[in-house]
Amino acid sequence: MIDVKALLPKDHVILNLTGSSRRQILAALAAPLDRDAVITDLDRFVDDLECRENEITTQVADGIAFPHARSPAVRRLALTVGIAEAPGLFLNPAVSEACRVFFLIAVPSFAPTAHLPLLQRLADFAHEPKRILKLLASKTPAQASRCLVSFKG
Amino acid sequence: MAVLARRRRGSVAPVWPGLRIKQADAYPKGRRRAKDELMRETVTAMLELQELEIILEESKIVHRTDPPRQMAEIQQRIVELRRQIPDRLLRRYDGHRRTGLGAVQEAAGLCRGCNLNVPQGDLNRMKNDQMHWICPNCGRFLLLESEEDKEEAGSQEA
Repeated sequence: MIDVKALLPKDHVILNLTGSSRRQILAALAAPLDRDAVITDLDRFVDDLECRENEITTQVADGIAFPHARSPAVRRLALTVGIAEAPGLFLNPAVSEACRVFFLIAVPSFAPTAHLPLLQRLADFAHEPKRILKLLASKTPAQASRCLVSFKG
Repeated sequence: MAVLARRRRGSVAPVWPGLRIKQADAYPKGRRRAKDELMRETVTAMLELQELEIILEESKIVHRTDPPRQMAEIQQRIVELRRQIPDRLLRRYDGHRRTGLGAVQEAAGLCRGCNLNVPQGDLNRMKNDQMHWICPNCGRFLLLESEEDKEEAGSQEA
């Protein structure tokens, strides 16, 4: 089973996420990874995230998105969580619904399928609206991180 | 029987066609280059196919009951790419995909699938079309690093 606790330190949780465009939102989400040197080139990683979004959107109903991309700029598998204030942010111009919860996964290009168990676990977590409401009600990054880590699937 | 008859006649033709090893100069230089490009195109198509298959897998996880219309487009592209790859190579690729990756890139003599060193002799044989572009350690298809890739990697290091 994948260890979310190891992948999600509390400083990888962004409360009050902001951004007026898709690129700004993705760059804000990737900023903690850049700070921790998990990614070597922020611009390239954001380019790869946008490319992946253009293939098929990762936004699902209920205002949740799972942006992720395989990139040579990524050193290891990593996760960041972003929570935006209501009414949310528009990740995809083709989708009229705003997003409030973002799970960003950085995938190294040498292990392109390493994130699938993590994605499955996050999708299971997001499937239950009660859990998302609890995550949205988190007051601190540590509380949000605990909410995700305590989910056993 | 045909094999034995050939051997009796003292034929110089290879006894077991599967074990035939071509000499470096078996093909004229132009034809060798064309074969090299064909293999590069095939492995590139495999890498693209693999990428699309992974995207489809991700989308099935994320969009459970409400698949977006782009999924049908990706499925169509997968069908087209599979048509481009010869059946024999596609079977080998599918065999590896059942347990992970079917095609990977080679960088600085390393297979990106198993992270083991590919012997320089094997790399030379692959480039001279004496061997399929397959990692001798893990058996995955290898996309060999081109001269442009090497230059790009060199400029990034500098």
